This record gives sequence, C-alpha cells and structure tokens, in this order.
Amino acid sequence: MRTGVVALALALVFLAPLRAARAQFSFDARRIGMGGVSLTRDGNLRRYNAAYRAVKDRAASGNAKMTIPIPLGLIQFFKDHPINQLGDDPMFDPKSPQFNPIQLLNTVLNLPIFLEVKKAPTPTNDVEFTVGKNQLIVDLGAAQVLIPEDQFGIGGSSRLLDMGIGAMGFRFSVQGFENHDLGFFLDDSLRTFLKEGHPARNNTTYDVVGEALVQAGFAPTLSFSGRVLPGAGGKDSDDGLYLGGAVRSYYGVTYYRAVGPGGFTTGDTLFAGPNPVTPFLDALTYRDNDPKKSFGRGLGGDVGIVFISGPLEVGFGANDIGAELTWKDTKVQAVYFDTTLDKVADSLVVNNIETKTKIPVTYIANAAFRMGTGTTVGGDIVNNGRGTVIHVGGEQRFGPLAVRGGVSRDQRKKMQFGWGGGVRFGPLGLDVGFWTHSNSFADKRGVTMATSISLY
Amino acid sequence: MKATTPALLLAAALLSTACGEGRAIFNVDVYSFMAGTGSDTVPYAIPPATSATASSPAKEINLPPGFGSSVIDSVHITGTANLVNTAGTGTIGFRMYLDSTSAGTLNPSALAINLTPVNVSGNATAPMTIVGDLSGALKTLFTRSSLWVRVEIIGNNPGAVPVTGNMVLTALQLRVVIQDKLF
Repeated sequence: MRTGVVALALALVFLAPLRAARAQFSFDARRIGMGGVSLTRDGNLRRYNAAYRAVKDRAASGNAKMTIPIPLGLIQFFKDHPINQLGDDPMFDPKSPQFNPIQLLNTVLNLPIFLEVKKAPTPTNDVEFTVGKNQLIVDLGAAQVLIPEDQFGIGGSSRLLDMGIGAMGFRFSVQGFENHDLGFFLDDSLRTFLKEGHPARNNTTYDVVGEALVQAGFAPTLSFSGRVLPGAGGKDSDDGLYLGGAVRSYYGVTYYRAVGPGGFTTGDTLFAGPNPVTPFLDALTYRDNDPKKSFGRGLGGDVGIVFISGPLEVGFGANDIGAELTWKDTKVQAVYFDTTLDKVADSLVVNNIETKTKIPVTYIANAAFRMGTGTTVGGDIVNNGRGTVIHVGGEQRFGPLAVRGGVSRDQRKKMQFGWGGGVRFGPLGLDVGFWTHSNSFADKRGVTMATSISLY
Repeated sequence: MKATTPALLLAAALLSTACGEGRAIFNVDVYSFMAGTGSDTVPYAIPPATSATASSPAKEINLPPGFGSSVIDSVHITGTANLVNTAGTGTIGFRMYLDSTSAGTLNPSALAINLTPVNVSGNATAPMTIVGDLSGALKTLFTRSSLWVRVEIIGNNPGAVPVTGNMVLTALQLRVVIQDKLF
C-alpha cells in the first residue's frame, strides 16, 4: 500500500517541475547568460530545423568548437557533501532527522554543475490535519502552491543516433528515435481537497488520472537540405533561402502505454463503519507482443526553412509531422485493484489487435539580427512536444568583451531572466552567465551562475 | 495491502513531505470517535465513605499511518466534560488512558491524564475542563496508525449518601505535533 501511494504522491509532487528543468538546461554559460537563446547555428536549430543542416557556421559568428563547463557547483557540492561520507550524509539518509526529500529532489532538478548563488527556499511550512471520525481536512499551507492545477508530467522525443551518408544535399541515414510522455491530472475532488483544504467527503472517489506512453525504434530517413535561392550577398555569403525536409519510415521496436485513474474511495464514514476507504485503480495497458515478429510501422517527416539576408536570419522547422505508428500485434490488459484479494491484479482484455500511437510534432521558430555594432539579438520558440518555451536574448561585444542578457518563458509559463558576460582571447573564451529558474519547490526563483570555457 | 488502510490520509500525509522541515500537526477530534458509542459517558455510583472507579469501554482512534520513524514533538489534550450528578456529595476525578491495544489501556502505565478531582453535590451538573500534555513513551503511540483510548473517573465519597451520576464528555481533542519524518 505504502509503496503505491508513495509512488502516487511522488508523481504528484515531483513531476510537475521536471519539465522546466530538462528543457532549459545548458552547459554553455553564453547561452545561459542570454536567457537560454542560442545566437549560433547549433544545438536546437539543427536538431529541430532540417534546413539548418545546409547553413554553414557563420564566419566569426561565435560558434565554438568546444564548450567546457567549469563545474564550480560540483566543487561546492562535494565540499558540503564529501564523497567518503555520503553514506552518513543527512541529505541522502532518510533516517536522518535532517533528511528533506524536497531538498534532495531540488538537487536532482537543479544539478549542481554550476554554482547556485541564490537557492530557492525549500518550503518548510507546517501542514495541519484535522481528523475526526467523519472529518478530514488537510491544510498544506504555503505548500498548496505545489499542487498542480492542470495536467502535469514530462515528455519529449529524442534522436538517439543518426548514422548515414549523403551528397549534393541529400542524405540517407538511419536514426534511432525515442518518445516518452507521462501526464497526470488530479480530479476535482482530490485537487480541491489538497489545494484548497476542502473537507474530505463520504462515498467519494479521489483519483489521479494518468497516461503514460513510451515508444522507441529506428527510422531509415531520406532527407534533403540546401540553399534553393541565393541572397543579395551572393553565393559566397550565407544569404539566401534554405529548405530542408526529410521523409522517415518508422520501425517501432517497442511501446508501452497505460491510461486510467487511480486513487481511493471513501466509505459511509471516513474513519469508521463498514465501508472504509478503498484503494481504486482502473487502468488499461497496451504493449506490443514481440518486436521480433512485427514492428510498429509508420511514415512521417520533417520540414524546415531558413531565410538569411545580411544581418537578419529567421527560420522555422517542424519534426515528425504525421508520424503515426501502427502496431499490428498488441496486447491490452486491464489493471485494477481487486477488493476481494486486496491487491492490484490484471487480466487480459484482448490480444493480437492493431493499435496506433503518435509521435508528437516538435517545432522551433527562431530569429536573429546581427547589427554591425557588435550587437546581436535573437529569440526562439521551441516546443518539444509538451509545452512551449520562449527565449529572447542578446549580446553586445566590445572587442574581446561581451555583455549578454535575455528573458525566457518556461514551460510553466514563468518568466525567467539571464544575464552575463565574457572575455575572449584568440581561441580561448571565458564566459559567465546568471540564470533565474523556478525548477524548485518554491514560489521564489533561484539564481544559478554558470561558467564555461569555449575553444574557438 | 489492507483495504482498511486510510489511504486518503496517507496520501495527504505523503504530500505533507512538501513542507520540508516543517511540522505535521494533527488535530484529532477524539470525541467524534467516542460520541454515541457509550464511550463518552461514564456512569458512577460511589458508596458512602469509599473511593471507587468507573470506566468507559476503550475506543480505537485511527491515525495517519507512515509516521513510524517520526519524532513526536508534543501531544496536547484539551476537552470539556459535564459531571451530571444526581445524588450525594463528593469529588470526581478524570483519567485518560492511551495504549496500542484495548487491553493495554487497563495498565497503570497507560495513564495519560490524571486531573484534579472536581466537587460534585446533589442534583447538579459540574463542568470539568480537561487540559494536559503527554510525555515520554505515550507520545510514541502517535507514530502508530491507531491507538486506543479509555476514560475513567475516580470518585471519592466522604459522606453517608451514595454519590451517583454520569460523567459526560462534551469535547476531547488532541493536538499532535510531529517532526515530519515520513520516509
């Protein structure tokens, strides 16, 4: 019982902030100093916009050959938590009176690679329970803000590998893909019970509706990227209109999907009587039977466009358009709580049927403007399949020095701010960037100081 | 898995980990568990020139599970009762016993509260205020998922007429402050 409810509660409390963390993290202090935007033609641009694969790195654009983070946060972390004493460290010892699971999770969400110059405070308010024979009220106090109002979870798509050959703008490759999506939402009863301190009611179901999907496979891909129209600057410049596209045949190797509510139902009386609180689970799971017999098949593709004219550069790319996989041999099972046996049980609903899954469309829209005065500004909108992140930032160079700033709106729709600077001596650059974040279990923002060395 | 586990409470308690180093405070309305069951009323009849005790049946109180490794900061008890005396003159004291089992509440070591006796006389009702704090081993009972409570009165009759009446609980609450150590 405890394990199940622990998992449920952990999912409720812990997953909501995860998405912001994984969407925004970067090892590059320059990017962090600009609120997360990248003004160079790397990273997200080439990942999400097929046309960018034909756009050369801009001469003297600031593209570094290598960026090495300086892990000041790790130094501080291991100073505070010596490796040879981790076994007795209160931070990792649930038996310690100082153990705080929220602090531990904050550390996971905000990996201590960089120095945390301002830590977001961990909620430490009292939580008050009012318990009677037929009464239960939970007042989480300030921690009520941690209870999500809407659906929450994590998700995204990854290209695990990309091996291939190409010529004349065309390329044939085999890409590995992985897509995962884990979402929950609280039903009204549970949400108001936890978030607004409503009294628990008799004969009421309190549940969390969850949906999880994991699928992975490989995809032979034929792609093209090239400049279809030269710009005013001529062929020797980057100016022009670039197009990119890819057609992909998906071979799904495995998938697992689960959907349904889980929770508990109160009885005639909350803490007495013949109908006590009863666990409740009513989910369906789907899984492919044997990848050696059949693959999940589907077709999809990417499109991308980039327009460069002198200092102006804009682009848009979308991925996995129309990617729907058909799984010919799927087993569907019901997973439920058996009140007679007093345990979770499952039963076969149907076997060897055809089911379909989708890979979400991801996209990026970006723009950058490079002025002749050493000023570069830009922004991008990225959707990795679960929420949109917006970055806007800029850089002003003064010879070897650079000053940067930017803002972003994270997936939780919170504004974040970045600022920083750097100095470059020939092939070596040292950069520092500060970044606010709300990846913690608190209303207040934390501030991270990132430092990195770039080799040009 | 026990279907009888108050999962709702447990989930709420788990979510209370969000309070970090904050405390979990439980206001337990013990009276609501006892009212109407006979446990909230203790009849007494004390013969002349004697002392005697009378007790209600022990009653189980459910608490949120999962606090086995928690540290109980304090347990404060408040309540009120009426001594509805019907005859005689004497004093009535109030005792409350707590234990992990019903039978255990009969042990002297389960004594949680022992109030100063209140004077009663004739056909009149005397109010009684219940206030106390638990100490020592009894506090650890609140790390369990349930405990048993038994109320006892002890009467003293120095007179020649039997002292008779009922002790009627009207409120009994526990305020349990726990250093939240759920995992």
